[in-house]
Amino acid sequence: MKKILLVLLLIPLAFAFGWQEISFISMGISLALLAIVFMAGMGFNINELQMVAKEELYQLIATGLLVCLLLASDGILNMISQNGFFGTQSPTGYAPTLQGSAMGHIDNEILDMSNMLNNVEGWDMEAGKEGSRSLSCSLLQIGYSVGTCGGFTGLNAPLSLAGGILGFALGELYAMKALLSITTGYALSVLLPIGILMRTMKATRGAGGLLIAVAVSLYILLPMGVLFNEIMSATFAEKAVANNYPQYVSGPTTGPEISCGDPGSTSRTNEDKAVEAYGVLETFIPSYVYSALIRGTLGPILALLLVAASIRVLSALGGAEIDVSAISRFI
Amino acid sequence: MAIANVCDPSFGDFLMGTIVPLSAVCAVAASAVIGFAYMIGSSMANPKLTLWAKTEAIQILISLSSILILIPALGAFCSINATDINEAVGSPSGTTVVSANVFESAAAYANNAASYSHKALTVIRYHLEAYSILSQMNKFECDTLSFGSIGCYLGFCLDLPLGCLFGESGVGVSPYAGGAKQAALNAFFNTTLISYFSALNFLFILLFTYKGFVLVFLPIGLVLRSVPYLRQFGAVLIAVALSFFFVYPLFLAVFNLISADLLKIPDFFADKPYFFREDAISASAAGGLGQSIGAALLNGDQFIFNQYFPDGENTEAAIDFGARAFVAGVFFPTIALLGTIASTAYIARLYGEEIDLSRLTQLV
Repeated sequence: MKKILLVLLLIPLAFAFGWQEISFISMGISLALLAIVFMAGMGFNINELQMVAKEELYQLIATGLLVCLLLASDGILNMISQNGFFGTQSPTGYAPTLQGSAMGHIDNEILDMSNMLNNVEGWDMEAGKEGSRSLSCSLLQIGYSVGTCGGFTGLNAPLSLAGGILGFALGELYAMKALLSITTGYALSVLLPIGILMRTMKATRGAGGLLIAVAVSLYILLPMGVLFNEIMSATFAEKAVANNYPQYVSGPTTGPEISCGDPGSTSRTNEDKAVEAYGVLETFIPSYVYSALIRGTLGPILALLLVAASIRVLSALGGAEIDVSAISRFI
Repeated sequence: MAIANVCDPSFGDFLMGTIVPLSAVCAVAASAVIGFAYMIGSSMANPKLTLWAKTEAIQILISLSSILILIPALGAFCSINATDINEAVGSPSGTTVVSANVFESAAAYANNAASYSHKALTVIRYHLEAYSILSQMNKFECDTLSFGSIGCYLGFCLDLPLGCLFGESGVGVSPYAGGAKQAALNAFFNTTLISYFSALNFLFILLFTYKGFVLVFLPIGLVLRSVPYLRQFGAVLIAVALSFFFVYPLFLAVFNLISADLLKIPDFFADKPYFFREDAISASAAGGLGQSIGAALLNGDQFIFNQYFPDGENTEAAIDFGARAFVAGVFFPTIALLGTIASTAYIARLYGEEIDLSRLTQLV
């Protein structure tokens, strides 16, 4: 009955304040109800009621500590996220905050990955087109057909594989961007207050703890993971260039020439052209692998791992027993 | 849109006319068994049996309290409005939310996530169809007899395709060959398919929760809690029923508050309804075979391409669409399910039972 009363009392109160006020009002009402339960237990000499009230009081104290921690960390986190470092790191068009900086870097990575995918798609189409060229000559159904551009079709298999990998990496980055954009806008304003409200009731304590953990983890750890990966990959790029391995960071400025000559030619010219194009494409591999696997794939995995680990720790602090293996399956 | 009118008077009738009497019958049946046990215990002067009967009688009362909780909590959930919550928590960028109670909002999120995933799936399928057909398309360029500058007037040159006059002399080529685009989209077609099934799965769980869980789990749980060795199982059934009935919709309703931004169709596709068509484009759809051949002759390689992409192509936007569908159809609903499972443990604890969450998590 206590929970029902709590729900009913909170409904009208919940519609005028921010999450801090809602949290304190929820806790105040909970405290008042607990006092009533404890008094009833004392008055009627029911030990069970007194025990329940005491246990709930501990939980209320835990919720209070959690709210205080969030209030304190809100300021600290704002301080961190609005630090000048992120301001200088934030690509133009984004707020100089932790989240803005992460969004900007994701946008840059998407742009790079998108250019790479466009290149691969273009080369693949050219290779397919040139490889399919064949010469026919017939008169009254008598004649011959010859195609000496077939060497170019050998490029299609690796380019298709590259397209698949780059497409997947690009999709991961887009998913990260969507998640970041949603959590930047709603984690603290929607998910956190509702989580705190749910945590004040025993039946929804676990769910509330999880929602708080999800909100805080996505708001802080997700952009932090993105920036951490960015710092790591930037350091790698710096060292690679300094140690004369620039090919791991950026590929050649011009792509391969994928053009077959006369498809009826019987010399080895067309085969040589295909081999030459393959050789040029090979020089792109290090920088593409670096971007697709380190920046596009490992980055999101790292950020999501941080989020999963954080949800586990914070939900345990919030009193929810969550098996993060289910969340880890996203990765 | 699949809905479950939980706040409809008909559901109230179902609750009061079916669930409450059914639970009462279960409680009476269990009480009869307990009474019988107490009678035997008293007649045989067996204190163990009478003590057991007394303990179980208290447990029946505790179980019945579940039904008492159900009715007012249902009323509260039906009266909470999503727009009020949205205003209270101060959603950013003036996001508006459709006025609905918790149950309606939950159903709206599950429906919209499924619909969104389906739209993403349709768009990616459209691209795959286009690229598959384009990559298989061949053209034959006939050898021509050119008259040089003599045959050119106003930029148009007369080249006679003599190579195809008496036979086939020329070059065959596939102008859109290659498979990188298909490979890039194939991965996300599979992912989006999973997102769609996942979103539907969460929707069906929600719909089943409203009747199936309450109809089956609650009365059975009531009886089982009074049966020796099955109390834990009974408590889990009641906890699962209550948790899925209230916490699961509550989570989805919260996610519905953010759905305006989450379920946003990428701008590139928003004003292009042809990307959402589910039937194949045929040559006849372009105005008949004759017209198609004529158009192909005039427009060359671009003809079929333009049939599919009159405003240009955008593989990236399709990938973006699929990625967002994954977040909407898999990530957030899974969080809802995890929260519900966490809540199940707490509700079971209210009945004095500890349950192993790791087993329940395997549901996810």
